[in-house]
Amino acid sequence: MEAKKIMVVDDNKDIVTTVKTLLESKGYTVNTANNGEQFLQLIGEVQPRLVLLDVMMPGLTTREILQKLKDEGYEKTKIILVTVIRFSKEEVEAIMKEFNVVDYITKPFDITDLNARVRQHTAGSN
Amino acid sequence: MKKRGKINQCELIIEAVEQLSKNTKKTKITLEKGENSERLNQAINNLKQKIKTSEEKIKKEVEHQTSTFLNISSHELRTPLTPMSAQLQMLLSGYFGKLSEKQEKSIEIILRNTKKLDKLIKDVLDISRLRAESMQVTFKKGKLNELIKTIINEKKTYAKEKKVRIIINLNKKIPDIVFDQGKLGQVITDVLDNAIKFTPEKGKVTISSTKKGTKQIITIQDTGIGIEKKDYQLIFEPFKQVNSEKNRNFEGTGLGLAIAKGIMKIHKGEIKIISTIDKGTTVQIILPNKLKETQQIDPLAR
Repeated sequence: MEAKKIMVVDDNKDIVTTVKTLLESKGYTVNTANNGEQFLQLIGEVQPRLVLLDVMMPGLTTREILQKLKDEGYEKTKIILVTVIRFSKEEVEAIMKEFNVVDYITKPFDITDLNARVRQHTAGSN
Repeated sequence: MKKRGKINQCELIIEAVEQLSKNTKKTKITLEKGENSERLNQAINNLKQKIKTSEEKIKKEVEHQTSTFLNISSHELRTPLTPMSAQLQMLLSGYFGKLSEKQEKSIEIILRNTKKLDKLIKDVLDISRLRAESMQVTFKKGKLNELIKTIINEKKTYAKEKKVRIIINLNKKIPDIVFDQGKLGQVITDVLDNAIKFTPEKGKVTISSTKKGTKQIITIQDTGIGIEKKDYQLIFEPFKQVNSEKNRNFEGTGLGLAIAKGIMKIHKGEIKIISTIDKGTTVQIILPNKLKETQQIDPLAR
């Protein structure tokens, strides 16, 4: 069975390496990007089923990235926002309604928690 | 006659400028009727308005810059903690091979302190925001009891670990009121956390909500070690912790209550403490019911 593809997008290279190591050890195929532009350039080629997207990166804002994804027809790609900021319940619900954001994780995260959420949102066949 | 007219005009100008330089809340200046007093009146009032607008503009700019600085600082400070924490967890969980007992203990210490550092950074940033009066709040109408129940749920495991019973006594007649869910939640969580922390095994913590006139009161009462009256104000100060034999083993950043006090001030409410040594402490979180809702800031537009 083909490994499930995930993209990890964060401007901090150590975070990207760490999450990549973590998820690859669980059998996923992981591609990475360091900012919004890079991510949008690669997504067509990679076609991940899930993206772990950092919220505060230089360059395009998160809203701009999510909007571009929507505009270019990637509404089905699931997004988990990874963020230092703690969102309120209403903020999360509003974001989830507007874009295909399925979950969010706060940094620093618990690795068991991250694994569980990734497993949950990549469940089932493509 | 003419000479007298001229003196009057001078006095008029002096009076107008004096009134302008006084820092009063009055936005209009009224001068005695006389030659040119209308023009002067108008000019001085225009000037006063310009000064006021300018001051407001500067205040907003400073607030915005402080807020941006603190947001960026928060992000920057906590970013290295993320790979640190994750890598340590992976080491402990055997991702990189089996560890000896000594190695495990060593990494546990580092990981524990990484978590402490994270909390400390978060708290220091909160205090900074409060001090700079640039803490962003989103006031929305909500159900207080729902918030309390959510927090109690989050603390259930901790209470169980400490063998402390939680008793809930929420008044169903409490109306929906306006508050900042995240910030008020932080206050209640912190107070509840303290209550459980400072209560010995087999003790109990009671949380109740009531309405008293135009105020909503959340009361958290524990059967813990208590606080001396002389320390009531002390515990609200940043980094000050009670210096007693009983308190020595309890950890915390020392900022929780200082932050809680600041958040309650923004809510135009209060936080009060009454306590008896060895019997317990009662904390009251008091909220008014007349706050206005505010517009939500887009969290994704950073």
